[in-house]
Amino acid sequence: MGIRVAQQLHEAGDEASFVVHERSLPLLTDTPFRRVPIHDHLGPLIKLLIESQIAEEKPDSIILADYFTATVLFLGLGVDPRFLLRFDTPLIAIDTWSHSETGFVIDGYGDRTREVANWIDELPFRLRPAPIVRPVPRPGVCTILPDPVRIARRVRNHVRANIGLTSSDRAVMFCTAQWQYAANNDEEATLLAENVPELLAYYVSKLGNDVHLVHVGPAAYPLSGLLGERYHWLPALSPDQFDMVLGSMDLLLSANISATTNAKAVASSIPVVVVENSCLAGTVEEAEAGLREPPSPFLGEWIRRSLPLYPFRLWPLGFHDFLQPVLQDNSYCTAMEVVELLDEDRVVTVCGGLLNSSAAREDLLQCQAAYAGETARLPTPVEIIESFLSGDAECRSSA
Amino acid sequence: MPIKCLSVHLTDLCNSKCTFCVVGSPLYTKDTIVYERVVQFLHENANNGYEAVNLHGGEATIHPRFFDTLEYIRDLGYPEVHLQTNAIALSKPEFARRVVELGVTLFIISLHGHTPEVQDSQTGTPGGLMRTLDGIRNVKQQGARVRTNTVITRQNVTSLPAITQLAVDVGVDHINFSNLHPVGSATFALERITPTFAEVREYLYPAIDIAAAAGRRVTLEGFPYCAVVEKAGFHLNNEYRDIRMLMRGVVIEDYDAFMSDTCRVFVPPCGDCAVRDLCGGVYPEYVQLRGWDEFSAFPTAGSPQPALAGPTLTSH
Repeated sequence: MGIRVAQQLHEAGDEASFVVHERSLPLLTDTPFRRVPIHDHLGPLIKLLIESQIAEEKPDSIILADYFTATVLFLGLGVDPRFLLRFDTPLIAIDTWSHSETGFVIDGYGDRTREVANWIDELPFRLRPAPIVRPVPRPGVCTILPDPVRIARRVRNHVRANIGLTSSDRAVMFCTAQWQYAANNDEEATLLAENVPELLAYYVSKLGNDVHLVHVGPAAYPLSGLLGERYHWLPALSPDQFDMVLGSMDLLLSANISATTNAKAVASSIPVVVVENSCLAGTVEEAEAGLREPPSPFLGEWIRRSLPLYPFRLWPLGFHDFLQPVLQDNSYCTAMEVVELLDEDRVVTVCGGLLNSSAAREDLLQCQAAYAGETARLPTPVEIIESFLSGDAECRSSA
Repeated sequence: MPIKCLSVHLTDLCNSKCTFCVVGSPLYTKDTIVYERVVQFLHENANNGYEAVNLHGGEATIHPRFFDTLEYIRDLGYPEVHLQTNAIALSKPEFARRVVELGVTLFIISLHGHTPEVQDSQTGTPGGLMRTLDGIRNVKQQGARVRTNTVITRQNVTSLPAITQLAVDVGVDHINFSNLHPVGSATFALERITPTFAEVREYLYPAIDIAAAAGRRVTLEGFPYCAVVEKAGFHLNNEYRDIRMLMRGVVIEDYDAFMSDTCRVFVPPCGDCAVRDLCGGVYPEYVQLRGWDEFSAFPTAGSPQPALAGPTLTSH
């Protein structure tokens, strides 16, 4: 998100530089932005680093990209992030989740919760990006919907052929990031991190012999047993290559409703199916009690191996209840199909419909276009930042 | 004999769609190359001791200013021109004749299969193999030297001996085998097309033997030395030792160093390896896909010694 904002600032003729945790440095590869890495051993010295950067660069504003991440980072280094308020430089927070709606308590890993430090009300300037916030004109609400991916037919054909798809095959894309492989050494989260791809692969296997799963992520999953040569793993790709693959797909399957790839697919008229889980279960009986029908043998066995189950909208972290307020009456959710992980029939029916029924596909694409139209009426982050800095009181972001 | 070479990426575009294209030509719908920059590069390096200009792409022969470029190189006085090509355009005798007349002395021709099924399915050009073979014959008839280049993939690895025999039969002077560099187009096909080195060795070694028995020069390009220990005397990376390249507007001062520094990595077994500097390491994309279990420090004292000190190898 921060990079997108920086790119827009760059295109508008402004300069942007990053003070960024070393783990996130790869995200800045091939970008024109200066970067100062933050190493974990820095600890409270981060304050000196920030001070020296501000003294050196004399920025017009400091942007927290985003509030949640920056707050967690500073506190992790043993620093109260409020020190940033000491500077005369305007402080702008990217409020990804719209904390005034979601609150600050995040559910994850079963019944465990985590509280994010609440100092956002002390920040006068907040960018609320749509997606994921509702695309309704309010202070700070701006569009962050990416430009659509458009690739030439010959490129699409080449990419698909290289992946191993024939002209009649259909391709379902699934993306993972490093943080989705093992969740903070938490046993339950790690179990779900490992097992969800297998269940999704099982669902894909039921869509027909010509439906392939194309997985882009840091490491392959052992899914060949379910899909054979219909499982294709691609390592992490450059942004251009990623767009080529995304633009060559027939459907995006996601287990993270807030993923930027979902937004890019929506903007690019690629159907998106988001899987979430609302089932909190410690036993098979508890899990099956929430099902509309008895589970298939595979699903039943999968549940048994995956207990305890906990709700998530950001697999495998959780964020289920936390995100509910911001997703309520949010047209973003109409631009994609949202299905329950354990509702085998619905997952398969929805995915199959989008792959096989032009009517179902067209209906969703119309919703995507309507959503894109709504976001297009919003100001851009740069416009809002400029308003902030010009002293436009209307743009001040009260809840 | 190592020579000083100027290397020019003339175009991004190609009339083939190779699954393993290292520069990703099939992913380009328009050329990003500014021709005036190519002309400038050739001009500013003339009379600087470069013994050859190597033209490549994409497919250089389809560039609308291809012949103009050859004329310009000739007029600037470069002693030799080498052309990397799929030779499809050279299947027309008149085209081949004109290219040779304009000074191309060495053709480096892609040959990735011995049958249309093996070659054309990888290059995406139905009928391509036959035209490539015609192209080889045409330039040989004009007295030019031909080196074939075979990128080794899962699709052609078992055919390496047959491909080599075909190259011998059509009179190729020099047969080069390239280790697949899994970038560009190959990024999308990694698992499907990337063979393990164990798979490669099983067919590569007999292929080398066929070429050697026929008196043809054989080289290996881009292979970690420990992956082909028994054939370590065949590495190509000595042929040009001073390559200055123009690639999409960027001048790469030392292509060998660029490849070592930015396109390859050393894995733990490389730590003690005696030929580490010569070898340059392994492609990180390969390591990501297959791990590094196949690699080990190159054998030294007490081990069978390959022709490491042979005349075709020079150190940095």
